[in-house]
Amino acid sequence: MPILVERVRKDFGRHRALDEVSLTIEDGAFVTILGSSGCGKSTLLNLIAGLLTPTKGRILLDDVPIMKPGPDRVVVFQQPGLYPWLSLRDNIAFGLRMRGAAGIDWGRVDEVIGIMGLKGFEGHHPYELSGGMQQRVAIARALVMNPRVLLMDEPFGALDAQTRHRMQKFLLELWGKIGATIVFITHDIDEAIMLGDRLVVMRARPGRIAIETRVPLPRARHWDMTLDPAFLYLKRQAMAILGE
Amino acid sequence: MTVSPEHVCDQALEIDASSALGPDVPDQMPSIGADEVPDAFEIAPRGGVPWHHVSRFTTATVVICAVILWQVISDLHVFPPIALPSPVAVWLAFIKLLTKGYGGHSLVDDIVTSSLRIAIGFGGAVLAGVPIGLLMARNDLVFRVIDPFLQFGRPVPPLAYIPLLVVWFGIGELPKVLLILVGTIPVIIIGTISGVKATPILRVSVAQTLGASEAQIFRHVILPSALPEIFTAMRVGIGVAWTCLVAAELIAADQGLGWLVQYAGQALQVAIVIVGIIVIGILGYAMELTIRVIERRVVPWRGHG
Ligand SMILES: Nc1ncnc2c1ncn2[C@@H]1O[C@H](COP(=O)(O)OP(=O)(O)OP(=O)(O)O)[C@@H](O)[C@H]1O
Ligand SMILES: [Mg+2]
Repeated sequence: MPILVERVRKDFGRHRALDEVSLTIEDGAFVTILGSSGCGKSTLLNLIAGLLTPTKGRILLDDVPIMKPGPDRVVVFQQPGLYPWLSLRDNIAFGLRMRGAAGIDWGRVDEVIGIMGLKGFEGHHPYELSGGMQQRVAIARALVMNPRVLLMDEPFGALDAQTRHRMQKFLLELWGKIGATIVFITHDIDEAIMLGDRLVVMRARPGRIAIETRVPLPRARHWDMTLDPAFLYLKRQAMAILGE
Repeated sequence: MTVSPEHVCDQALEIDASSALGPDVPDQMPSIGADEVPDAFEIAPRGGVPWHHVSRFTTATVVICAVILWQVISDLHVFPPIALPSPVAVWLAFIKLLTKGYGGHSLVDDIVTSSLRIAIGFGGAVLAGVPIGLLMARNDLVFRVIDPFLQFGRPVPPLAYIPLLVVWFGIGELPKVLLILVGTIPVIIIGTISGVKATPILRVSVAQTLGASEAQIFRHVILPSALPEIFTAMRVGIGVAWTCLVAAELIAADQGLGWLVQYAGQALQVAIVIVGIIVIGILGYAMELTIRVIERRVVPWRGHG
């Protein structure tokens, strides 16, 4: 199910956050969106999620305009947004429970808890967890839904370098395995190029897409590739746009 | 504890102020007086002694000094003993109230009677007020229907309702309990609405993107998010309930702490009046502490975002 963003504009009152944004997200693509703070990345993601509606233009999913949020497009927000009254395990199972309590596959929940390195904290409440752990719970809560489209808004921003690295590897593996479409926002240039098979770089005021390109690296990514000429070329291009 | 009708308005207004501020200040609490201090001082000061030890010690010292000062002033006969009985005289009055009672029954009866009236009136206000507040916050039509009554009724001191309640419901228990209910329910309703409005949008967005329905979001996200403010409203409300109780016991009562204070006052039994005031203060404080204990169990995340 490709996602088509067609000449979208988004105004907040008199403030124009996005203008003339067009983008095609192929089924199963890993698209990274790079841009400086305030350029409208979260706005674009929330539009695709259906939490916002475009002021102008339209966004299609399977040729149908996106009107409202749905569990086929799960979002990992910039802040964890966990429910403080639920334990870690119940937070992760929240989406499954909304589908109907009988249908909760607890084996799957515990598997995701293991993958995210949260074993041993199942009964903890969010305020008993570190910021990085909270963010991992938020990611787990989305993953457990097996969504067709995963929208991630700077999901690794709050993590330390090591965990971040582990999560990036894990996300790539997962993507290879489940074949979900991933839209991944970051302001880290290396991360954007390392993870994406398509790279979108945005310009600010109003938010527009400056370049949209294929990342010419093999799908099996490795950190040695940060020295690859293709990587460095893209990086220089992105830096030129962001550094303006 | 002051027991003036104005007290009701003050507290109701404070709640309203926080609701007007809305979602920007989700954890803002209306101030509810000096008993808030122990919570606010949990952080250890320089030197390492935890604040609550310091503050407990300070409180005890202040109370003891005040009592000593009171004894000295009454010993010096600055005021006639009938106007200012000494602490010893008040203590003796207290013992006599417990053993022999006043007006035909013991102090314990007064305490039980008043506590029951509060429990029923305040309990009713919570049981009705929370659902009403939730409905008003969820449904615009319900809000428009009820809000004018709320805005109109809020500034009216409970004392003003007494003649009406007596004409409509006589002089039994019903008008007394109703007065407490009518006086307290706006506080609960406004607190509940403000709690719903203060739900962080992110929590709702998360539920939406995970596929929750409107009803599920209300039940699983908005309701728990509103709980901390509902408890704050209950803590404010219990103070209002005591204010209303004293007013309620103006209605042809022959028992209760409010009755005791007024009846003894008319007989110029100032020592008994002081005992009554102290007992009301302690009971009110105890009820607020009880709510706080329940709150800690129900909303342990309070103050943790
Ligand atoms: N609800 C809103 N109301 C008004 N203005 C908004 C709203 N949401 C975003 N904006 C404005 O739109 C612009 C883009 O915001 P957005 O959150 O999309 O930026 P961003 O690229 O995600 O930035 P960051 O990297 O800091 O998260 C900003 O100037 C912001 O002030
Ligand atoms: Mg953002």
